[in-house]
Amino acid sequence: MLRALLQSSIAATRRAVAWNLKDLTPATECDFFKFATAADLIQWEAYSDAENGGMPQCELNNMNSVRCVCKMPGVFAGNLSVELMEHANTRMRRSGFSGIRTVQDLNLEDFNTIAMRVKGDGWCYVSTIRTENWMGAPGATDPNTWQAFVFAPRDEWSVIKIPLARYLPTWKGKIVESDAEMNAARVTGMGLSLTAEGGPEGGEQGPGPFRLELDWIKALRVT
Amino acid sequence: MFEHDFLAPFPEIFLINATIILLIYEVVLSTSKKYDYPPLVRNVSWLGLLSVVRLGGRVWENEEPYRYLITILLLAANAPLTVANLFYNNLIINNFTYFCQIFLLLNTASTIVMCLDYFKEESLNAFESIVLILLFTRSMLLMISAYDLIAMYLAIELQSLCFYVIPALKRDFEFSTEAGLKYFILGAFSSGILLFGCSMIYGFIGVTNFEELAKIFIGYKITLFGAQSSGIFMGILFIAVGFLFKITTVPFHMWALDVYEGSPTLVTTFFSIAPKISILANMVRVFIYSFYDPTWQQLFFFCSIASMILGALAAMAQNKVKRLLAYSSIGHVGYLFIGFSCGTIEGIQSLLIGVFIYVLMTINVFAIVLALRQNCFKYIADLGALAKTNPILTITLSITMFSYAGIPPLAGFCSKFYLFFVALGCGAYLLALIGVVTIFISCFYYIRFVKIMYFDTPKTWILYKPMDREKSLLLAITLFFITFFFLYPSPFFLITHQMALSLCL
Repeated sequence: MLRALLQSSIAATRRAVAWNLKDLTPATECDFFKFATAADLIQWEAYSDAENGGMPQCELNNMNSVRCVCKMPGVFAGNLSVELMEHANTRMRRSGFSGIRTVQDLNLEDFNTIAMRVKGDGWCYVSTIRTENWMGAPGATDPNTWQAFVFAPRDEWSVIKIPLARYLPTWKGKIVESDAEMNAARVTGMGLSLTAEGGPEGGEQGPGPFRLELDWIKALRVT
Repeated sequence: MFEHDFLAPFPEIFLINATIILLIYEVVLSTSKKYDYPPLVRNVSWLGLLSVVRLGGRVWENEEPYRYLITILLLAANAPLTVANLFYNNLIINNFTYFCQIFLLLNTASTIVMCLDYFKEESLNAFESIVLILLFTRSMLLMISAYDLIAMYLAIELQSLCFYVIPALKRDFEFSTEAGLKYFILGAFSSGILLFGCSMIYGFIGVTNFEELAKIFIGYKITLFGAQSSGIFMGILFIAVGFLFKITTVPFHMWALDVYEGSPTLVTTFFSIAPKISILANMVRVFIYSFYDPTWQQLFFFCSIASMILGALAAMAQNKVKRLLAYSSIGHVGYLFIGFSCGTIEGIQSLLIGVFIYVLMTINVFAIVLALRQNCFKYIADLGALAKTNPILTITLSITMFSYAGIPPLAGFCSKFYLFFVALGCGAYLLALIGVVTIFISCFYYIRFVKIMYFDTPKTWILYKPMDREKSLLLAITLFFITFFFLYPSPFFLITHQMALSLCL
């Protein structure tokens, strides 16, 4: 630990003494998530309202086979259903959402855009960022949720860039009418999801199969 | 008692009344449907500025030239008392108090001038911030003239309560809320420690008045292991720790960085400037006048050395402007503590000179940061090629950075020279040596600003909007003082010497 501290101190001193503008400029991009191998997917969890009695199915897989050494993107695929099971949670009135999420502390303070390389299927997905909740009621542990639509072209790989300013505060899927500003330094997780109902006009709606291929998610600093 | 006790603090009473009237005016008018719920921030800022400027200055019957100069600049309130103990020795008025308060009012006026444009640019309709600044100013005036532990603590709490709120001024930004919450927790903790120390002093001695404490402690050796003095030692130690928390000295500085960075820039400006004056004035009165003992010198020596070293080394690794200025502030407190820890009249004088010049430089720097803030100026690298887009501003910032670095013949050099001179005079050779070395180290990151502005070209050029007239005037005045202070520093040296004498004699 002392050796690591000494090395980091020496590196910091070299950077400070060198007066290189590049060292003072924050990074313009940072890779946060890749979906190349099965190990990359461990930190992601697929979920749907099947936990509460809905009938959507979803999974997040990697297209690699056991013997394949090439890096293939992750696939978030499944089948959205709006039906409810007989033993469904009585509070549920409708069904039909699925998503993937990760719980990881991130610092996006130096960045202002989220970029992801995806191959869509016509559905409109929702990108979610969760931040620490400093303004909630005492004892509340739910993080703040910020969401933005992801429009991925069908059957075509594209890089989607979403400015952080476009993320709106939401609570249980509904937009909160507030001028709140995201604290990008306190991100606690990210996610991608979709719903059978709702979403913008022009996107796919209703029950049915879906498939989203993901290559990477990065944070960018766009000036 | 009532003959003079309500006449002498007339400026404070005026300020309280003005604040209350402003608050009523804001609340009534801003919620008025008839006037279409007007945003009142700019109006209230000007009214607040008027009340602060109107407040300043006391005209005595036998006016001296430098005081008359102040009364030319400020509208004077008549106060025939020059030296007085008020309210059963709870407050004191003397030269030290008078000049500290004048200086504080000038700084508050500067801060309000800086915020005139700030609220408009941020679209922040927070008129209550001006009221809080005025309340905070009033509490600092009381703190400077406090002559009793209870009066001191009440004034500190008044100040702290206002200060807990304003870091969270941006109610919709959680980073700001986080800063406010952190400051509240740590501020409450330090206030608790301070009060505990005060209660221990009262418990073991039975008095709280500074003058009576000074009489008791003359010739009294305070040690940790004496039967009674151990309690006194712990009490004074707690008071010292409480103060050191509030003035962001190492090792009690941890809260400052996150609070400075998370608060709105205007609040960071205020944090960097105003509390230093009042808390240092109070510390000088408590530790030089009342609790004078070589025991505390060692503690303040350590804090001074640690602050200088941390301020110099940690700032080198920063790439954000506000965080760098926060570390710079910690380092400068370390330099100021050189004069404080010497414990001599020259030491106090050097401390006062250092505070004055530090505040001028800080006002200058933060006025520039506020002016450039419009285009999301956050990183040091954003200053690249500023010399090509705004050469006058670049020269201003360069001169201020050179002054921060202690380059002669600027004001920063004068203050640091006198501080080290005093340290050598009282035999603190190690302190002076570490001070010189840390100044040399700090040159790296101060002059780096100049290098980036003149010689570096960023990938994306940022074109800054012209600043408002008030800030440019403020910059011109402070730059004038920083640049030409060395030509005629005598009046200021005389004033600070008189302040130090009035404290010690």
